[in-house]
Amino acid sequence: MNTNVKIREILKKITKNNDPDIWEKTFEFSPDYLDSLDMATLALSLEEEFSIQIPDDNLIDMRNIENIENFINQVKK
Amino acid sequence: MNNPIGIKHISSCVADKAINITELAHRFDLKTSFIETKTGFTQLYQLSEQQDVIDLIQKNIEIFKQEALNDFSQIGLIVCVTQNSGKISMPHISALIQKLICPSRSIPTFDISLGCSGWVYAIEVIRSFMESMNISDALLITCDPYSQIINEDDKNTSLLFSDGSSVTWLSSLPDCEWHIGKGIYGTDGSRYQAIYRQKQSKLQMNGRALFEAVIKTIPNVIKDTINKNGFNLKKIDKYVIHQGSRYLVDYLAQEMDLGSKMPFSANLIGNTVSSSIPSVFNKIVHHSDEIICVCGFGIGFSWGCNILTRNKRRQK
Repeated sequence: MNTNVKIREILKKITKNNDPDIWEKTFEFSPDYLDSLDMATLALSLEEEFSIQIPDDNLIDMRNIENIENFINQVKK
Repeated sequence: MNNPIGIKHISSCVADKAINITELAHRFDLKTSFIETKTGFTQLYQLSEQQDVIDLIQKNIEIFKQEALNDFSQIGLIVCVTQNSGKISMPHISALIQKLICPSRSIPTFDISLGCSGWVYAIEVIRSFMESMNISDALLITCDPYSQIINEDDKNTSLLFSDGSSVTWLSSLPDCEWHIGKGIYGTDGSRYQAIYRQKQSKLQMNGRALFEAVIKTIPNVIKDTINKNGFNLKKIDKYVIHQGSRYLVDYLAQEMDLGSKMPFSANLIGNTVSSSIPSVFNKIVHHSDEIICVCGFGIGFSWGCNILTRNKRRQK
């Protein structure tokens, strides 16, 4: 399973949201989609799935799927 | 003293000033649905302007008197769990409680400085003290009103914490309701900044760090405690865990596949710190439930977990 698919699986589990817009790579997560508690869950899930550490500053910048994917690809290089 | 020390009665109450969900939603420009589904607390309580910590404890003692024990002559020990003892910061608040309960009689008293893990820790400490000092009955009191130390404009803490109190009667009487099992206790001080307070300032909480500490630690603590007592996860009738927030309790229940056995039940109480578990115990545990896992965790990062089994001799 590639990075993009894994990210989508995690987001699907957290948000339980079926709105197709959220799966667009550049769709900006508003607090209606991912609030602060969801973001904490997202960070924990990504850290476990990809064996990485996500500092708070980087988590704040993760506002769409593309951001997340870029960060993971960068640290996994 | 031939009988094992157990829990005979648990009583709890909240402070006088109520704050409802509408007020909280307005203060932080939030939807009420966010509060209902995330923190889960639709009602919080604070000490009123006329009320100090000892007043809230006194209110709880009056309730305890009506529910369980009117004459305190058999009480041989008082222990209070708190990190915020109110206007009188010294001496230890359990000395003031002794003055309320049995002013003409000297008995041992001491405080335990712990937060959300405190009630579970205190049961173990009190049991050991009672056994070694041959004391038949003791009162465990919890009261940690965070309203005195939180910034009311801080969304991270103001939406969660509530002022409450509990009184737990531990006794060697044969008709105690609950036997106390073998506990597991621990601390990860490297995570202390997840929730802490510097002198003269307000409480600070890093929600993400605290969430991570709980999720990475508590499931294994619960499993290890159950194994230590010779049970498995399925054998436990109810899990009464610290009611930090609905999101946290539901997340743990889902991760551990426990469903309704690990409920969130503090929606009308709030997160009352060390009073959290005793405040919901009687709501969550039904007459048919016989084996209960209690688990407290929080500031420290500290945790305590134990198993309570219903005294079958009492039912006969």
